[in-house]
Amino acid sequence: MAHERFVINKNDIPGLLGAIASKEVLIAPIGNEVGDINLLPVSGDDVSSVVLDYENTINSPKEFFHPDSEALFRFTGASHDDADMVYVAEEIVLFGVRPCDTAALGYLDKVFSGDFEDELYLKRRDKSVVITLGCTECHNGCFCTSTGTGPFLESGFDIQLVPVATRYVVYTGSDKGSAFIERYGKYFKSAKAVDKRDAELAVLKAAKCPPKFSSDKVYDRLSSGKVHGDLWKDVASRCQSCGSCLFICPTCYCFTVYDNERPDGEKTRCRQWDACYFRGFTRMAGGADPVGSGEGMAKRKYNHKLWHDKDRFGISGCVGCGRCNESCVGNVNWLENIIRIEKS
Amino acid sequence: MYNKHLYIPRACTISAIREETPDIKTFKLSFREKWEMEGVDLVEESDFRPGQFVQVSVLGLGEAPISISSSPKDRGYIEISVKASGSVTEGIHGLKEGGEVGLRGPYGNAFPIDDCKGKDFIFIGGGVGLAPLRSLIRYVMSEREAYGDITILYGARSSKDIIFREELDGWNAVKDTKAYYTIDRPEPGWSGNVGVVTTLLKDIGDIKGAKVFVCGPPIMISFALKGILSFGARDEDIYLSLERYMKCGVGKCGHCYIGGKYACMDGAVFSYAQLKDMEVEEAAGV
Repeated sequence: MAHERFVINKNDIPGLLGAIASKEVLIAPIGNEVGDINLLPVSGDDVSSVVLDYENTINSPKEFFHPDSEALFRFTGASHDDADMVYVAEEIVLFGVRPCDTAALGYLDKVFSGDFEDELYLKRRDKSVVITLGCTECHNGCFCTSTGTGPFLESGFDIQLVPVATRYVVYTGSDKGSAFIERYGKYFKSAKAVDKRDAELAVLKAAKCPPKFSSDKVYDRLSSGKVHGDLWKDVASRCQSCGSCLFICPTCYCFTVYDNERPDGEKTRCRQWDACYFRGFTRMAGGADPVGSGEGMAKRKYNHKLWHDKDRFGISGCVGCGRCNESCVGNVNWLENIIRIEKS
Repeated sequence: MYNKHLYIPRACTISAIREETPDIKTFKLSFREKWEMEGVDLVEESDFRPGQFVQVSVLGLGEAPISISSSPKDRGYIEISVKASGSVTEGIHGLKEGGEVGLRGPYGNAFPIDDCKGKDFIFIGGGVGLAPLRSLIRYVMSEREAYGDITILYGARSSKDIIFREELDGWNAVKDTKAYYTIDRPEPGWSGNVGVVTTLLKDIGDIKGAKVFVCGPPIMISFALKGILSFGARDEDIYLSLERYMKCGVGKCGHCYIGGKYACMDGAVFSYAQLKDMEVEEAAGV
């Protein structure tokens, strides 16, 4: 759809956030006493702790749509026919999501739709408005210009904010985004020619952030099948199978399913995030394990995100947020390894 | 779909249980009410294609992916043959006639029977791996005249572990159909074939142009492949039904990922040519 343009002064942001928080569930970047910034629900009294000058939040928006653990259904009686859904899908506004993370939601939308639609995820997405905050500076830890997922998005957002001096130029990209602007109309003014020009300059300047690798070259190397096995051995020797890189990844979606009975007697079939770096991820009841080695698991992850996803969805499974590099206790560096693959 | 919701299984009644071996039972599952799937009344049709599987649920224990072992022409019910090997399958074994399991599915692709009219068939099964093949064998036997020679080769650990033995003997008596079975080691009182299933290959004669269907444990698959290839089978004529760990069955949970595909949606049936083309992470059994 055609983008509409508006402007909001940075000074008016607290007022807007307060107005949202009084009517809807607001999720925004919140700083804590040690300087960590997380995407968290914000109450009306709390809007002063919202931070909008951060590289990225520690958590990605994934958990608000695909929670780390949730009930698929509840069963009270002895029969499957008595089972009922219990999931909650609230109207939420996510404010200040980086473009890489918004792109990651676009990726997850593809995973959870298709021939089999995952109602739990898709209902939450339907009821959400995601307000993307574009990046005007290059950061060391991330690499969206290599994965094509930033520093600003051309599509796939509800609303995108372009920071320009003391104001944000606001682009709508979906019907949900336009409805949001209408809902909070008093905070937004129509953009003028100068706003449009300034925003375009800011976007052009940010786009100059040099890529760290060519994702096409990496795709070619991986799909040639000729990447040297030493790389997978290196990853396997460092990887502690803790799963942190996969849980923190904004696009990783794997889950396991288990039946749970709570102390109060409620019985549910639940899903919980799972990680393909866990031993046993593919092990079957008889003991056979088609991918039992660390090298096999490493190769599967790189192939999946950087090669197979491009074949399957036409987009990279890595959005370049760089969180996995930060979280790894074994010092496996995803970005450095991608560059090794590119140069191999 | 048998299920009304993606993740909520539909209740089915266990209408019969047959003990095949000490650890494999066949369960006949009947639908409880008229239930239309894409315009087909399942109570009349049991609509699925040979090679597809169902997620079988026991409340409190979870689900396991199990191939359907009956034919789509066995109407009003489906059969599953379950080996007790984990918590869910052991739970299924503990159920009695009249009891309930939940079903989701049918899921997965299927054996490519439409391309196979008039062709010769070779089935190679090991252990409980005969179950998905039985679905196709029963289907083919029900319109026997539409196909060429059929050879069924089956291997079990011991004489006690042979499943569908009466059916195997029955198929062997049908014109242009041979069914051989073998056990891994000699046993007192056993006068039949001894040795792994590939030792039966010597009896099959000319296999050029035959469609080959393989299912069994990984080690058996790798030997069966070597054997059948040495007899001149073409990569694209060999179809394998792969066993993988699965949770959702619908391409979301990630467990059955194999070389960029999901065994639950893109498989579980793959041709050997397809598998060779895929950059499989590790090639256990393929």
